Amino acid sequence: MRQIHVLMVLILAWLLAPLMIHTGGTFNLFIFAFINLILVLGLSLLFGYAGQISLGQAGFYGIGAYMAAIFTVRSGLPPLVGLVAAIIVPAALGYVIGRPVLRLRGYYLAMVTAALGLILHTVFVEWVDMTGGYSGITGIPALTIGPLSARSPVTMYYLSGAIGFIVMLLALRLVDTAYGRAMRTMRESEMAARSCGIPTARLKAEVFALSAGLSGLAGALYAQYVGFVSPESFTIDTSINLLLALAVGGVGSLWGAAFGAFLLTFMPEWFHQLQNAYGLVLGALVVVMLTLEPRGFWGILLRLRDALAGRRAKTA
Amino acid sequence: MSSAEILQLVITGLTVGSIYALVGLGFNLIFNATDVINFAQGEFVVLGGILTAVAVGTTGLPLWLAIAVAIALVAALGALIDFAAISRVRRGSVMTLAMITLGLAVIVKTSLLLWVGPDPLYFDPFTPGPPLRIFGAVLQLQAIWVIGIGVLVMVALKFFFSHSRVGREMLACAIDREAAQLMGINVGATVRLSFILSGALGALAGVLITPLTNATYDQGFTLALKGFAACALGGFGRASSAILGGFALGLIEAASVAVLPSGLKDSVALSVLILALMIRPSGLLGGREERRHTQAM
Repeated sequence: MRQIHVLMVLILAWLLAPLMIHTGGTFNLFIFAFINLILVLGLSLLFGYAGQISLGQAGFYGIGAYMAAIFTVRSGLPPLVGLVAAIIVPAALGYVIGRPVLRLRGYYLAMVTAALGLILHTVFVEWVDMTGGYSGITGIPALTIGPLSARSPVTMYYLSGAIGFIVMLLALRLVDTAYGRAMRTMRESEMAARSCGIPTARLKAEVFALSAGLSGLAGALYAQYVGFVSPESFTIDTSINLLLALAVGGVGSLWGAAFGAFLLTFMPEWFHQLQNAYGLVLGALVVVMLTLEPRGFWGILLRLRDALAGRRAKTA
Repeated sequence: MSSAEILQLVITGLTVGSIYALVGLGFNLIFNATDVINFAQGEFVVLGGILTAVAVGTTGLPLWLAIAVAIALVAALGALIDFAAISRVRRGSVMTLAMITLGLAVIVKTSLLLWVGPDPLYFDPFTPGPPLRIFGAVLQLQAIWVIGIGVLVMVALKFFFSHSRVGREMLACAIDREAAQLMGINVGATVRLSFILSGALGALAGVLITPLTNATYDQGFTLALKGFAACALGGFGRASSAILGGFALGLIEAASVAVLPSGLKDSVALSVLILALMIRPSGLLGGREERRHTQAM
């Protein structure tokens, strides 16, 4: 299987890269790239594969981050407990909310999930006793798994990378199973899916919960790496950027999602002299890319491959 | 709660409600012509307010001229969006188009941040003077402008759609695009016009409200959400439901501020949107079904 080969090359590059990285800043970027990877993969499964849009991912991302913070700083439990809670709580909430909300489709779903994201942001701001309001929560301990503690950027690089690769691998597996095919059938036609006996209402809520859980996992990694959470990191802009990154990379492809996640992380760095100008570039990329090729960067690669194959066929 | 307080609440509610209704009508214009929700609709509003504030503040244009220029510029932006992007998309679903407008919203927002910075901008109300007092409630003169022009525009749009040729062609495109084309209606031009009108309408809303609330670069998306909520409350695709929904939302929001901390204002309005859609997914008044499917791309 060729996807596995690509993945193995990438894993090798990831393992060896620290030999060439000498600055903490670069490790930093890669860690954020892995966090974004988990977020965009979750969105890709939900939107790209199951066909359910969400503009509220930042809300679940935030819940994960606050769970990791609250369980360790306020309750004094080990970071691993915080990490697990950061997956379970958003996933459970996602399922409960998803069941009724996902009866909506298209724009309605986009707007309602955006509204949910904004409401969750308000909760982060207003529930001062729990979240610390705008000042947030400081002193979140680093992720520790057994003897492994991610206090230094290098350990966190490996830890977040390992989790990122595992999520990617599982997602690639998932979309190839009967479950993944059911997701895609539902995307193409809910009616068709239901007539094949796929319980669409439950399936939608499950995928929504899965993507919420992944967002929560990313939130925990973020909180435990940065050591600080505040509502600013979980605004509607975060949700919009995730969706735009997925659109640029390619809706309907996990590799496209991965590309989008890395682009989203590295772009602010490339344009850092221009403060927030990367928003211009990201927006412009989305507009130009989708006008030319709705499947994004991944779609362009596919067309290139087809064009090359076509030429080879002609010369042969 | 005294009757003066209730009156005050109604005044505030109707004022913001007019703005939501205008944003909702802007959504409807483009949605009817193209089946696309324009995520940049809120940016049109902010842009209208900020352009006017900049024109008045730095170039010293008279207010009416600054307003005219701002509205014309945003209308032109609407045309440009359709010309450069929307009309060129040949493949992909309406969701692709919606994502493009989302990208455009981010471009407009970032440009505004880089251009005027994060601070709120402001210009004086249309007419100077102390607020009126009616039965103990305070009525800002600008609020009269907002509600007055808002209602005027709503009535004008109603007549535009029912009595003018162009308006009826737009409706025809909304009802059945292919049939409209077969009847000799220039669908491309109609869509272009809907973007222009929608831009103008959005900018007008921004111009009206800025003297009361100031204009900040990042208000667009929340405004868009509320405008969308206004439409969704009534049911999508019908002008009257956007207007009713807008006023209803404004009143609910004003009432919530009276009893809850003001930080929860947006959440209350948005909870109403969620609840309304849970009860009646096609809007409380029943809108038309989305024609072409809006699932994934």
